[in-house]
Amino acid sequence: MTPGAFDEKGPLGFPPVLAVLCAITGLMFCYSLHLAFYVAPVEAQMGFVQKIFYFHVPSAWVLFLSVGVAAVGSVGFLSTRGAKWDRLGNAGTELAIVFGALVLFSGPLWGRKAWGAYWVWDVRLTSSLVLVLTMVASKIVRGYAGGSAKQIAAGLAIFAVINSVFVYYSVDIWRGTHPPKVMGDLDPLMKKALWTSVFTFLLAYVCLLWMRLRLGRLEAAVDHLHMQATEAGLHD
Amino acid sequence: MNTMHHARALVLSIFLAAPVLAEAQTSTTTPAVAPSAPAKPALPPGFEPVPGGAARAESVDANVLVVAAYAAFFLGMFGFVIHVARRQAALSKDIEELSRKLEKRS
Repeated sequence: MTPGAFDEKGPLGFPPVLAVLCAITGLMFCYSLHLAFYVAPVEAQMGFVQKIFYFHVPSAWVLFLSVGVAAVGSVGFLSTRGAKWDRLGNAGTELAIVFGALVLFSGPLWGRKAWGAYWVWDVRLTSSLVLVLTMVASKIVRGYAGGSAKQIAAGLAIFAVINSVFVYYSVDIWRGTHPPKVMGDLDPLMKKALWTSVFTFLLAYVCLLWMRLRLGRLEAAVDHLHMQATEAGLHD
Repeated sequence: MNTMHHARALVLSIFLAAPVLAEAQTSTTTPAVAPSAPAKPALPPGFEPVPGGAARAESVDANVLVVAAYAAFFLGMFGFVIHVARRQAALSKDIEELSRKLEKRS
């Protein structure tokens, strides 16, 4: 058995706290939609399409958070070789891909109306695309790179967190097509809708991360049981 | 041997002459068909300009874009949840089965 392959013991059933958290997140999504569509005013320049902002921006922030989680897991794994850290890195990578895909899908829809084009090779857009592709590469490497796959995947995740800093500050350094940060100048009702959505997305992220970590624990448990079964002569 | 040589030369001649014959066939048959077929309008060589020079205003419905974006958010997240839940269910089943086998063995 690989050292640390099943180093986290505990109940494998669905945690009730997670179920409650998922229910709260569902309600918060309903409230966020209500605030975004019925409370926040329509933006004067862009009109109704600006409503995409209330989910696009929180998705982008959660993408950065997830890249950070993947990097923390990766650093932990590279320094300790612990399976728990590896599972954290893997979960963070997968969720970064999910939220990155949402950002890269919703942004162009907004841009089509605001700029007249789905995609422009702006610094913010291009660096975001590179960030998501790096996370995709990390996930692919994990599955197909052989013996040192986990180490290479961890290295890519650490590279991605450096890129995410570049993505965040790119709109301040290069004033491209992408709008700059507007948090200070927002209408109070728009601000309320945005921060509610941010909180909702954070809750959703916690739920998804917890579920993905639990899946990792189950995978480790199955591997452990398969090894026991092989030792006992139950497998051919 | 000599017969084989002649046969090869014949096949090669037919092979080389086939495109020329086909072209000749087309050029002779086309005038016979052409009067009954409707005349096709000639395609412009490149992009076609709008008559009068006024470009048609392009409009994208914002509602469609917003609905598509929000649908993608929920589909993406629920898709991930469903994927994880199905995988968890399969693994839980494996755990139960393997545990039962191991208990029986011991």
